Amino acid sequence: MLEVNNLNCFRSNESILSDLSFSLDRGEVLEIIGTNGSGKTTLLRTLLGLIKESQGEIKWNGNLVTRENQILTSESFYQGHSLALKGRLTVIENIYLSAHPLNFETDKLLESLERVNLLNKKDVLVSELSVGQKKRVSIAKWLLTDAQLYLIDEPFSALDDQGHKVVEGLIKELINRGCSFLLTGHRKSKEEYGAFHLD
Amino acid sequence: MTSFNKVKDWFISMGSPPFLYKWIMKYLPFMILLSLLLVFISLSWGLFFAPTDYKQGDAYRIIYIHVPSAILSQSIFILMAITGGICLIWRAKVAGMLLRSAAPIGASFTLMALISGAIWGKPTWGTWWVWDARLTSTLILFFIYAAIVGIYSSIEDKTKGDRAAALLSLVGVSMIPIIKKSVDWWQTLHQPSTFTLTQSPSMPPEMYLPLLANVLGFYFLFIALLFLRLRTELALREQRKNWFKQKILGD
Amino acid sequence: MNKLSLTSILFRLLQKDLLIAYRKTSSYLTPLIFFLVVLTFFPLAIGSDSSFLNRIAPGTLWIAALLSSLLAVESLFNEDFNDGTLDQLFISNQPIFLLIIVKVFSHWMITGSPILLASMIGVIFFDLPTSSIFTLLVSLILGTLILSFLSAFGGALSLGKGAILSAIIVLPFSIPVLLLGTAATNAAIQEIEHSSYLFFLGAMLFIVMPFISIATAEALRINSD
Repeated sequence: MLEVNNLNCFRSNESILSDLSFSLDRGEVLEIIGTNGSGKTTLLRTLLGLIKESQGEIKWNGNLVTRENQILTSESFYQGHSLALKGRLTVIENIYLSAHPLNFETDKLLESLERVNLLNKKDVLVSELSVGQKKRVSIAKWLLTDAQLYLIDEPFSALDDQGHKVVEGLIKELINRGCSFLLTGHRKSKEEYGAFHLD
Repeated sequence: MTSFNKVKDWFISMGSPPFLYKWIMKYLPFMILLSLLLVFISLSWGLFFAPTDYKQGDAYRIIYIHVPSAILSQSIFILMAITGGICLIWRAKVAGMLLRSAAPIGASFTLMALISGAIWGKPTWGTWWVWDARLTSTLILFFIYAAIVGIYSSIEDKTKGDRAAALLSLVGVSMIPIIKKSVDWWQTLHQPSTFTLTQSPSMPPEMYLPLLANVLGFYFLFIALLFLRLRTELALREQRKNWFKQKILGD
Repeated sequence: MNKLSLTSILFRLLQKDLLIAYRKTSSYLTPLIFFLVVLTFFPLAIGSDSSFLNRIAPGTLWIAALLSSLLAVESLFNEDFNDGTLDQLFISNQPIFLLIIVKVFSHWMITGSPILLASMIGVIFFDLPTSSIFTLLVSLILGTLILSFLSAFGGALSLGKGAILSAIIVLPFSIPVLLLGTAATNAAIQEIEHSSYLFFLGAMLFIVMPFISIATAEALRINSD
């Protein structure tokens, strides 16, 4: 369970996030909604400790998250705007050699690829995939990690209707397992998801 | 209150931009006058009134510029490393601004040391430049200064630039002894006769007193220049803050 | 789900970088060709009679190695920074300092070790005695490793700003390596005692590796902020 109290974030003397407070329970989905530049990505990166110029309180499962400890990052999965994919590696190599420590058996991996409709492209170089397909490679990792908190920056961008359905299905499945999702976007995507507006 | 506590409190208050700005503005005119006066007096003393050297004639007088510049160039570098450490560890913005303000001044002193060294070399050794260990190390110090200025000027975000420059100063100050040692050793390999451009330690007081005076004068000059640059840096960064607007409108 | 051990994670990181380089020929070919080009230009510009060649050989070889390392720095962190991999490395909860050592080592294998091969061509270009080859290789291995670590620091500090700024940062720090390396090579050619130079190079590598890796990690953190 994530709790954020009075979070402030500064970038070159300007305040990007001011006094944010919200909470996210197990099995909950929260969408951070804002225009470009409103600080959505900054918020995610601050929670992960990638941005350190911040003040306020972040609590994960009741424990305070500090600059030194890794209690939040050790249980989260982050999908940033740039997907951390290597064009010169195939789909399967990208997942297998991912920087995020995933561990999985081959059949789980193939099952996940099937889920995102990329099984037939598993040995294709990522540079040869379309933008939407690249997104799905990253999404394939969602089922292969044991993270409790998913921080996904703009999950639905570049996806077609089918892709949308896949993502919604995955989110549903994972929240049933007790995971929570913190998503960012320009507008609200689903009624069931909680919304937090940044502006 | 003990004097130690007073000093500690002063130090902490200096970390706040409004306090620092007011303090600088209070002492700036005095510092500029004092430093110009000191430099004028000590330079004239050294250049015109100190006795002539029996070996080098009047040409040696350039040391009254060369030695203080060299001392300042190294002291400023160490100062930058210390403020750099404070900037990185305690994230003190003022420490970062101080580093950024001091860097070009230090680089200029280094350049002055190099040029005055060359001016000394010509009448004394016949050439404008010799690859002796000290001059070469000073040149390398100049390159490191240039790298520091280069790094913070290439980063738009000021705080980030400060921290990158701070890290480089710290790494620089640790690498310098290694570089110096290796250049010293290299010079003994290639030049069996040791030339050094420093005066032998047995200098009569009529010669080293003006030298000390010049060193002092140059230190004050540095502080005055630092105040000037720091004030500008503070103004640039805090221009949108309320305290600054009030001060400008108020005065 | 069982967690991967630290060694497997480090090994996979190494594997990833090497695999990408294997598929991108330019990553190992360009530093090598650049090294050879620089080697060629010195005799062209300065003079090429045989006694003279022997004298300029150590300096030329080392300057070529230095320049080659400096220019190769762009491929070290820039791509990872741009595509988000660096962020993932930071939040992966592994000791950053070890991740960096692995990255620098893989970078050295890709851009530094071809120089070792190319230096053999240097031996031919400068007509060096075969007795000097072993020392030349050892000094180059140690020296290029140190240069890789130093360039990593330069590259991390000037992330996204181009190789020239990185070069300005690294060059002053690489002077000890240059001086020691040329002295070792020169001594090997002249067949005088040179093992102490190699010893010093080794000691430098031992010191530089942890210290510069920590500085590099800090530089990356500063730039990712």
